[in-house]
Amino acid sequence: MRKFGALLKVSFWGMLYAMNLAGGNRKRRISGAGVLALAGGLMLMLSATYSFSFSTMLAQQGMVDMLPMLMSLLAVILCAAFSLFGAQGILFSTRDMDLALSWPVSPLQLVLSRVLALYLENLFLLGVWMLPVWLAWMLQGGCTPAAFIALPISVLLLAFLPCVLAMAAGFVLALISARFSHKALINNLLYLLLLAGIFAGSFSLQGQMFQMQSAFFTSWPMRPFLWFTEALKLQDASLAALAAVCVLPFLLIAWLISRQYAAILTLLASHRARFDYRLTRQHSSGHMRALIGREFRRYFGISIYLFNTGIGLLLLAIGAVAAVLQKDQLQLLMAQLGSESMPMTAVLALTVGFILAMTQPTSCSISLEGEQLWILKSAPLRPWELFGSKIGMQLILVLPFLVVCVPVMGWALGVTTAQAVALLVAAVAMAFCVAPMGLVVNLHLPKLDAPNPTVVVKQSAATLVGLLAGFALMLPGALLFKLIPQVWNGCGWLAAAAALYLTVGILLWRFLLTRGAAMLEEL
Amino acid sequence: MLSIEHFSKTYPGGKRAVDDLNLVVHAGEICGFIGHNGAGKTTTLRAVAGVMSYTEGTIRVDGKDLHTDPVGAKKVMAFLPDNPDLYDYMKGIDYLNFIADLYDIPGDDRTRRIARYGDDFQLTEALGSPIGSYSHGMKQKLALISALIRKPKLLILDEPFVGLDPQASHLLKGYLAQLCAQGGAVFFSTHVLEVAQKLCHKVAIIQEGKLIRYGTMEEVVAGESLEDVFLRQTAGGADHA
Repeated sequence: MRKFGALLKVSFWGMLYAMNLAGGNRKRRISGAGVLALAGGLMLMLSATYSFSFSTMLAQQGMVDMLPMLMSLLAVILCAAFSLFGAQGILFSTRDMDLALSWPVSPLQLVLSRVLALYLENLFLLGVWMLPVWLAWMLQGGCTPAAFIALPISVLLLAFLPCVLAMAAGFVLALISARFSHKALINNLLYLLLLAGIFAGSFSLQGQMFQMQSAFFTSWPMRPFLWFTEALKLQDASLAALAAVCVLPFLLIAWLISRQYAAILTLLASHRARFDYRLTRQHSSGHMRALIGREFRRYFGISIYLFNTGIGLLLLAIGAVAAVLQKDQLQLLMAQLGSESMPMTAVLALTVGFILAMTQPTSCSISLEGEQLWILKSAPLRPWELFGSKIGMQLILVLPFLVVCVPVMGWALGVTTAQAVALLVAAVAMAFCVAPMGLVVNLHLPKLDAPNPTVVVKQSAATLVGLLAGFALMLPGALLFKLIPQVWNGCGWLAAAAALYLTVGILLWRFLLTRGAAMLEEL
Repeated sequence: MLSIEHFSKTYPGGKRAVDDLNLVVHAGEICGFIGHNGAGKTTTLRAVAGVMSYTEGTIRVDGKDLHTDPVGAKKVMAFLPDNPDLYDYMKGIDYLNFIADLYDIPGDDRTRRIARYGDDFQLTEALGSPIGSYSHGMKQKLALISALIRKPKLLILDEPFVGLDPQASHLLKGYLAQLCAQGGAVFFSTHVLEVAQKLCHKVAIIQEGKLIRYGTMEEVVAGESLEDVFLRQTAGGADHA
């Protein structure tokens, strides 16, 4: 037990260090705490918005007890989605694995200590999420203030559930991909399949939820959330059932992983080495081509990097296809909503802006250089080449999606050609602004000593701040829409937004070439 | 070829890693840089390679100031850190091509050089495999090949013999001598004092950030062994990092 305690301690401090909450200088710790507060604040705001609007709606129908059920379900889905890509990295790709496996500790203890970070992350998010839920529920008479004492213990138990889902997915994916020589490719394909399954499941769940089918709320998958609600009402039997349904699967999956742990790690670490290479004539290419090629190799070689920063583009493509397939229904819906609702150009701009804010490989691109940064720093490269290759990679990735999907969605939703063109120009301009912005954020919040890419992509301050900065970029666009919605048949605000984004993009680029170059040198 | 004038480096927190270092390595010279762990060797080498920023002093490579013309200075040198972390997701040949592209080496030249150094270090047949599958020694060899194919005027090496097998070490010593014979220069750190004494024309001993002995090998050792001189000079100053 003492050994396990030591392992947990190391994992805990490792997690704090990875999140900039411990070690380093005061500035680093303050930035880490700020990012955590920002993430917590965002969750709190989201939860409060949904909780209070749902509670009013449900109270009117006499179904106020559905609130904690629905919100805890949403929270678990959100946390599981957040942990999904992280679990595999945390469990199977840490630099100190050789060292850890040589320690006289059982694989189960090792696995449990490794997932501590995942559990604490989910506990924090769930805890913050459930506070407004509990408050809204109590205000609608769902429970008494005394029931607040049951909240911490119930949340402590429920936080195991997203870990179970993420660990199971990570385990299965690692188990399969470890057996192939092209591990990254297989892993990417498996993640793609998993995402497709999640999308299909979410749509089905959404349909049932909105129809408020009673069978859905009493179905087996909903039982943990029912017990969670009852546990909040101080029902001991439900608390025990919740404990069983959350902790036992967690221990079971941890035990299953531990049984195969060394084998999977060995397979994942092994590469198919060949000793039959015959050198043929090599060809030269320019600096930029070499650098962009390297960026793409890394992008498609690290699943978590690909999916975490590329999922927005996947959603955009799915949205465009869905818009084409449901064109008639969508246009009918728009006609029913009439001119009182938000114009379609604004809805589309909001969607595309959201996607672009989510798609920021540059925001962790410098951090991912890690210990290999010396290669670029010792090479005879000008700052514009280095930064340009990272920005270029992001634009090469994003622009084709925009050029295809924005006009297609515009056509499906019945916007005019001029509006579609204005939308596309604004979207491209925002892409030109988001890419350098990600680099600027990463230069300010670098994380070069992460034990694995998961920490950089999922837990680093730069990723979160980059995401929030991307959302903040949408605000001036929204303001322009409010100020000049009708100018040039609804195209004026988009043109103004495009001009604004391009200007900001140019300013950020200039910053990178001056101050950014000096900051890179300091790393 | 390399001139370091009044170079100092203070890390955040106040630790002065290098203090007013002055050193010159001429074309045709191999200069060994020796000192205890934490004496300031790696800090100096990283600054010379342009990997680490500095504010005090002047470093010139082939007459080019690292502050005013970093690209020009980096073009003529190659740096190898003590534990070269390479891109594991690339194949060996891809990494060499990547480096060759950054140094504008034409296709024919790179093919010839890769073939030569690859065969000499017995790595050619493994160049089609991902770097992640390489052993530590193979990575070290690949990093060396990537440095040598640039035909650098100045080679900066941090502990280059660590991890190399005896055959590769022997080869490397030959290449270093050859580079100097062709008008290049080498500045490298090592803890293997016998190798330094045999290989180097010059030697610099650093202790707690200060250069305590510097000169030609004959001047510094004066008939003794480098090990004896080093131990006497640095007595009591070990491991202050």
